[in-house]
Amino acid sequence: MNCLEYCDQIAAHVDGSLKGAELGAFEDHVKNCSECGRKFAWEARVKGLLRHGFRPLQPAPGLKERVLDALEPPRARRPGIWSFPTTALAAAAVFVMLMLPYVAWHFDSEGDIFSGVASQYHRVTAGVPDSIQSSASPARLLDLSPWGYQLLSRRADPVEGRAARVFVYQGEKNDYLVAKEFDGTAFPTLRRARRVTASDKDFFTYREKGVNMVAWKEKDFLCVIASSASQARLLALAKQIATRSS
Amino acid sequence: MSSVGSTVPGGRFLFLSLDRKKNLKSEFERVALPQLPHLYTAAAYFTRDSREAEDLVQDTYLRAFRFFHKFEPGTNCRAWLLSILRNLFINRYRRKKQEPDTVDWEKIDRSYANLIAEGRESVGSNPERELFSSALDQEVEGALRSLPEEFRMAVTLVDIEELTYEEAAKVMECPIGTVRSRVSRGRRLLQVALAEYARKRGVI
Repeated sequence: MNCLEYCDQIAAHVDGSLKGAELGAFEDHVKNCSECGRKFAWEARVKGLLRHGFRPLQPAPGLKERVLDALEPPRARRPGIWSFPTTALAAAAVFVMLMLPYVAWHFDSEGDIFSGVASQYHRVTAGVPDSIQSSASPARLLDLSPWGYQLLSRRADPVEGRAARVFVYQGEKNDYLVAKEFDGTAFPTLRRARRVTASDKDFFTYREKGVNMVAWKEKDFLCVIASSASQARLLALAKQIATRSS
Repeated sequence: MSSVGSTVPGGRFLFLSLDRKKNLKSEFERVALPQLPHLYTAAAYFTRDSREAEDLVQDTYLRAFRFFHKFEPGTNCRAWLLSILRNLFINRYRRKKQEPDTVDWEKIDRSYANLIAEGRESVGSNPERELFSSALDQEVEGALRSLPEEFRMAVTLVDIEELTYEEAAKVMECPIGTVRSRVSRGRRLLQVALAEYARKRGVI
């Protein structure tokens, strides 16, 4: 080792962190090298001055008391604006706000399929005429004659910009059946409806205002039928229509 | 009849634990509060402003009290408090990102070499003794305050707060070798600065 390397060890030796052979080599060198010995002496003096011969700084009177006053036990501390209940409520509010569009979409989308159909059925059974023939009415319609249902009326009934048509049928026993078709095959999420799979096809049953409904997907449109008949009977009819259509 | 706490090790631990929580504040006052002058001295050299130093010390104690349950009894409480103080200083009190190291090391090394040479040529006298025995407190304070932050911090922690290199490295969050190097360079800067004061007073 040369003087430069020993000089790098001066601080370590002054601070007492040189050990063993490293310490022995350094002490031997300092004995024989007056330059390094002098540097060592100067640095030791500086350390001694700072550690022992130097008055520590004194804080202004009252700092200790201020510190003590500020040391309140955690449980006695006044809850801040972001205490746990406040934070939890704020988080819940943010969550609800974020979820609101989804929830609204969820119920609206379910309404797209089923809502309004039951009301339509009640109007029909109450004798309210629904025979408005629209020029926009489609040529496509469900042919339910094989099951004894004759078409009474049809009209366009778009829902939120989505083309849809409503058909009213009358059965052989003077019972009524309302059917609604929606353009497109994009099926909304139906969380409240019960899904029944038959013949590789999904059917969704739903009951509202005393009216049973069944929805399913045709080749290029969605279909809902509504009746006061039992759910099982309406589902069986829906399966037959779907099977025949396909 | 012996108590549950003395017969069941777990029970004893439970009692001690509950007792420790109950007396948290008094224990904190006993262990941490005597370090206040040391913390203030470090804060004053870190911030170089007495009012900021007092605020920094107060904030340090508040944070230390909040996390006192994390302090390991038997370890160096001063080093633990200085770690908190240093972090608060870095995050809250240091306005500039990092003071540039404006030290002209060539000039310092020349001055230092001259200082050593003067001592070598002074036959029969001891200039370093004269220098350091005559140094005024305010001169030492001024010299220490004038050091760039990294050297000022290292010298303060090791020489004034008496931390080991290992403890100072933890506080400064750097390797031990870096602490050693900063302390060495900081002391060299101090020697040159104090010699300047001594020359102005005609001591050397």
